[in-house]
Order: sequence, then structure tokens, then C-alpha cells
Amino acid sequence: MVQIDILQLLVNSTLTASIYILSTTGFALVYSLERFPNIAHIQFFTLGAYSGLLAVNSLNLGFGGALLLGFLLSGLLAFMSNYLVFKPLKDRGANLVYLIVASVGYGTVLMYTLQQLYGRDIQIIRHFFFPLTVGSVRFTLLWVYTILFATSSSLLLHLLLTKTRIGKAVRALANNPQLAMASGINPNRIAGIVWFSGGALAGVGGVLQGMNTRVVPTLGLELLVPTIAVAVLGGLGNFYGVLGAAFVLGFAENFSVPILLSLAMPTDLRFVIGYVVVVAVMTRTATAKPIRLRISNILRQNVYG
Amino acid sequence: MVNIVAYTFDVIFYIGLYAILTLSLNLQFGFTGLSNFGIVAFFMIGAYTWAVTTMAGAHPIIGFIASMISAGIIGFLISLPALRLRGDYLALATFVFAEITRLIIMNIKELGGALGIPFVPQIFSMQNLEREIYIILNVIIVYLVFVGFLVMTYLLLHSPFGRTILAIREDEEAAQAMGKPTVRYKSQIFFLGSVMCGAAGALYAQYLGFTGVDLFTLTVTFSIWIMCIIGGSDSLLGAPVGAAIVELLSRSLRVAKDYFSLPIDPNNLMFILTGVLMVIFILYRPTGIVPTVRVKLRHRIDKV
Repeated sequence: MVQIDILQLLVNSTLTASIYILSTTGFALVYSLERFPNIAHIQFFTLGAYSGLLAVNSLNLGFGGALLLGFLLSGLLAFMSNYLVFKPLKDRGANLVYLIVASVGYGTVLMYTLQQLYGRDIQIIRHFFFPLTVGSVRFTLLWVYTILFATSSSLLLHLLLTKTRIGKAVRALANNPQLAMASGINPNRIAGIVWFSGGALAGVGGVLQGMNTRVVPTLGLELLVPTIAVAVLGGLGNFYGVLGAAFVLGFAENFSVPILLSLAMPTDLRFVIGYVVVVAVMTRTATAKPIRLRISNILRQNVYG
Repeated sequence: MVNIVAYTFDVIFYIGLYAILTLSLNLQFGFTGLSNFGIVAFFMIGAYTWAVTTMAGAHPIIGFIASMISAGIIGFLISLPALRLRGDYLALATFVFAEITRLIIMNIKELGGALGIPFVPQIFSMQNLEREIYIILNVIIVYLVFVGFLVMTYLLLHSPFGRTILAIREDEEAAQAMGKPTVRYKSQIFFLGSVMCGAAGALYAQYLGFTGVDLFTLTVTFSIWIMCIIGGSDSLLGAPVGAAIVELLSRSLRVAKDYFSLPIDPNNLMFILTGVLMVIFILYRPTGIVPTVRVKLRHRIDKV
């Protein structure tokens, strides 16, 4: 019989969810604005891990420096990616599939460039985090930081989206680009901000994940399936959906570990949940009205009579 | 001493193999507008089905048919939930499917796990034949299969069925308004494309005498897409042309490494170069080489 420690599982799930929030938020934000899934987004995450490596191992900048460098480099890369690759494509009227293909190609270029610069070998970011034990739950200080960063950045993003003029412009562009532009919103400036912040968040996620596990060129690729699953479950392009979906997937994956262990199956199979989620959401969207529409219908009938 | 004859025919074999895969993508994406980002999954299913069936003692023909059918049926089932939705859902669903299939096979001990299956039965025995003869026989088989699929696709496109899928690509709602069950047509195309990938998988596994998860990574899907776009996605000739260009580029980089001291690893350089090439093609020549050349030639003929 496998020992199940519910508290430990809860902490693990929250950590997984935090990483998913950081990796998916940018993907969802860019989707809401540009209306295509940017597969290359996950490479901004990998770049974050490598900038963490660079900052800690080579430049001796410490934990804070690693986060800052990951934030800046990945954000800048995302900004440049839009400017050099995706914006020209959109300006030439490339359709959805070509944009996805280009993002796959561009992501591969980024991954192999990193592999060329740092090699294929597994590398460790040499920064020690104090292990902590509370009751029966074991974790490190890094986990606390990861969870704190995920919560504070989503809170900050929420405030940015709802309370500032920039956030208002982002939402306006996502809802109705023509109307937003007619109201004097500069779409290029807003797109730049969204791409930068999305890439920067993924970069911070990459630094944290790289410190928590190890750094390899495929670090981001490993998270591609959960990232897509979280984005799809959250309703492609919906920032608040991402927050909920990250927790759903994080909990589902971590709680399936003891189940898989007790069935003597490999724990890697927990990632299959991501695929199941994607298929389930698509079947649901294809066959029934979206849940949100149903809820609003029920509310309208009951509240407004 | 490098065996130049064997090497050349090896390159020709791979061009044929990739041409089959690219043809399947041409049919799905170029002619029907379906974005399949899980090409490698059906390729892999074909390879593993061949390994499992022939190792269980099935006749090669049975094994080959089983590979095609298993890949086809799985492709059909995979496409169903996403075909009613916008194109990006199909792209994401197939993308995730390919990664998950690899993960599942990697974790099944009976299928060799991460190490793969060695000593997969071959159509021609590698031990009894000279190396050149062995490769040439395989080249013949691959091109027979490729031409078979090419003829099938050609006939399909010049039938009422073909005109319907072109209509779906151009305007799906209009096709629906004409009373065409577009989802059924699209899933049939997905089935056919997956069948081709399955066939390619079987040929690949028997040629190598081995199959393993490391052969079927995301980069294979990426290579097939590059071949499709560079060659010309809505042109039958685009498949072999694109496959030849990318394969020759990759081989010449590998050969160049032996003669010049490249500062970059040829494998990395290959993917960086082709990725950049692909983005440039999408930007400036989204129709690909074959249609562009055809238009140029026609202009010249008109002038004469």
C-alpha cells in the first residue's frame, strides 16, 4: 500500500499549479490579442532557465539577479519575436495555420540555438535553498518563493488589466480590434507590452523551474502539454480561466501519482491527464454550449426573472 | 572508406520516405486545410504496429496493412472531437496527442520502453544481402509505395470527392450550405493521411530493423512541415521536391562537417537553418517552390 500524505500532495499541487500559471499566462494573453496559439512561447520559459544558469553560475548575481535576468531576457526575446516574426506575418495577412507553423518553426530555432550555446547536457543552477519541514510536509524555500511569485504576479496582472488604462486597452483590443483602434488605441504599443510581459512571466517561471529541477534544452518542451491543456481548459485566451485551470491540472496530476503508484504504473503517465483534458474540453465545446453561456443564461432566468 | 553507392541510395531512401509523409500532409493541409501537428504520432504508430505484428509472426503484407489501418483508425478517432471546431483546436489536439503517444509508449515495458525494440523483422534480410543491394531493394519498395499513394491522391483530387475537399478548404461554410457533410469529409481525409503515415512508419521500422521513441520526436513533425511548405503545400510534386531539398540540405551539412571545421554542431545548425528558411518561406513564398516555378515557366512559355 502506498502511503498518501494529503498535506504534502496539496503543497506539491500548489507548486505545480504555480509553475503552470507562470508558463501559461503569457500564452493565454498573447492568444487573446493575436488569436493564435504561439507554440514558441514555451521556449521563453526555457530561456528563463538558462538565464538563471547564466546569472547564478557565471555572473554570481544570486537568486534575485537570476529572476531579474530571466524576466528581462525572456521578455525582450518575446517582444523581439513579435516584432521580427509574427507581426510581419500578420501584416502580410498570414492565416491561422501559417502562424502556428511559423511559431513551431521559430520555437525550434530558439531551442536549437540554446542547445548550441549551452550543449545538451543536464546542468544544475548552483544555488542552495534551505529545506524546511512543517509537520510531515517537506519543501524548500524555493517552493515558497515560486508560489509567492505566481500569486503576486497574477494579482498584479489582474490589477493591471482592470485598473489601468493599458489594461483597458488590452481588453478592448482583445474584444474588438477595429473598435479599439477607432478609439485611438495604438495596437502595436499594446501588443509590445503584452508580448513582453507574457514572455517575462514565462522567463521567471523558467528560472524557478530550472532551480527546482535541472536545466536542459527540452525543459520547456516538457511543459508544453500541460501548458496547452491549461490554456484550453481555461478557455483559450482567458487569463482568469488560466488561474483556475492551472490548479485543476496541478491537483489532478499530483493526486494521480499515488493512484498510479498503487496500480504499479509509471508516474510519468500523469501527463496523460493533460491530453484527456484537451479532448474533453473540445468534445464539450463541439457538442454543447460553452459552460459560461449556460451559467449566464441560468443567472438571467433566475435573477432577472 | 565510405561506401558512396550505399550512402547515395540511403539518401534516396529517406527522400522517398519523407515524401510519403509530406504527401500525407499535403493532402491534409494543402488540399483540405487541416492542420495536423501530430504527423509523427501516426508515423510512430505505423512503426510500432509493424514491429509488434511481424514479431508475432505475421506475414510482412499483413504487418504492412495492419500498420496502415491502425494508424488510420487512430487518426480518424483523434480528429473527431476537434474537427467541428476552429483550426487551432485541431492543431493543439494533434500536437498534444503526439507528445502523449510518445510518453505512453515510452512507459510500456512490452514495447521496449525508452530503449525501443531491437531486431525488428525486415522485408529483405540485411545479413544475406550485400549492403548496396539491400538498400536499393528498399528504395524500390519505398518509391513503389510513394507512387501508389501519389496516383491515389491524384485520382482522388480529380474526382467529385476531391472537388469537395478543395471546396472545404476554400470556404467550409459554403460547402456546408451546398449540403456537404464537411466533418465527415474532413475525418475521411484525416484517415487517409494517417494511413500514409502508418505505411511510412512500417517501411522505416523494417529498414532500420529497429524502432524506438527517440526516433519520433517533435522535430520529425517540424521537418515534415518544412518540407510541405518549401515544396508547395497544394501541389503533388511539392512533396518529393520539398523532401529532397530538406534532406539534401541536412545530409550536406553532415558531410560538410567532416571536411570543414564548423563552429556549430551540424544537427543544431540544420534545425536553425531550416527553421529560419521556413519562416522566410511563409513570409515571402507561402505557396512554396513548385507552384512558384510553375507560374514563372508559364509566363516564359506565354512570352515565346
